[in-house]
Amino acid sequence: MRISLILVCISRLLYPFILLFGFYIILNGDKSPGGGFQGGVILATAFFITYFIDPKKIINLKLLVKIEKYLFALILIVACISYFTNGEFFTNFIPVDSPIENKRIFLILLNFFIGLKVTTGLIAVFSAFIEEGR
Amino acid sequence: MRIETLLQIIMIIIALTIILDKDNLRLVIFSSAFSLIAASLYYMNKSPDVALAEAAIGSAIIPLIFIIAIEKQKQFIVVNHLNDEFLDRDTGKGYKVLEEFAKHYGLKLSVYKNDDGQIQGAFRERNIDLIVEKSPQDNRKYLFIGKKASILMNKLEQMTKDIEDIKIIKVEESERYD
Repeated sequence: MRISLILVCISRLLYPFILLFGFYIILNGDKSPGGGFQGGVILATAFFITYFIDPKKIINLKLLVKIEKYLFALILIVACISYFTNGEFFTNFIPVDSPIENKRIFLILLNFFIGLKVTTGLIAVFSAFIEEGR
Repeated sequence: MRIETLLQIIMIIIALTIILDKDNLRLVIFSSAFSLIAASLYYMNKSPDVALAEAAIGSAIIPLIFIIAIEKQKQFIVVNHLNDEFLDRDTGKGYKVLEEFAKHYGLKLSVYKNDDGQIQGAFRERNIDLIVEKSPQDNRKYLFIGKKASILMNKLEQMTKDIEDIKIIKVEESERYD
């Protein structure tokens, strides 16, 4: 594919800002619109922009899929910590009577891992798509 | 007039344009605009969460994937199993035929030498359009092997009807032929 120089320059300029915006949406997902999925999709878009900068870049797909599996296990582990503190699965592991700033930690952790999982999943789909016709 | 009504009317017009238009690339841009308007309508109806997801997926990822798909569709991949100069870039007679064929249908011709590592997809084996071999019985004939389901093969058969030393063989999709 022939890619114009203007597109490459604009992509280089936009790339860090899109990354920042994605992480902002993930980490503020518990008190403002957005969350793990939306932020993860924006992070994946930031990766897709690097395809314009360097079309010949090759991604190790097997490693990516493996990271995604480990992240899924990590999400389950974070959700199951509450069994040891509250005695119940899939609830907040911080005690109920603690202040709300501490309770946020659970949501931020889950949002962060979900965001990374969505990012790796979308990058894997996209890379498989690009690799196919090479 | 409220701005929501205006946006809804524009959305209907864009949807009709998408259905009626024939140009693939323009159609992708229109669908991206459709998603953008849908995202702003979601925001106006008090669901900014959905609007974020719609804006990111509908107007960034899906058009990009469609554009790459259109670009990939334009390739015509040929695998060369010959040892002589029938498919050489400048002097080969077969290359001239294939180039004319590709030019006629707006495709990009790419000929690969028999090299397995070069032409594999990510998860499954590479989708090859045409394989060129030498006939085992008749030493002067060349075999063009392609898929039966492909429309391009029928066109190629009509095009090479007059040339004596080319024979077209069509095989089923599921069969392994390389």
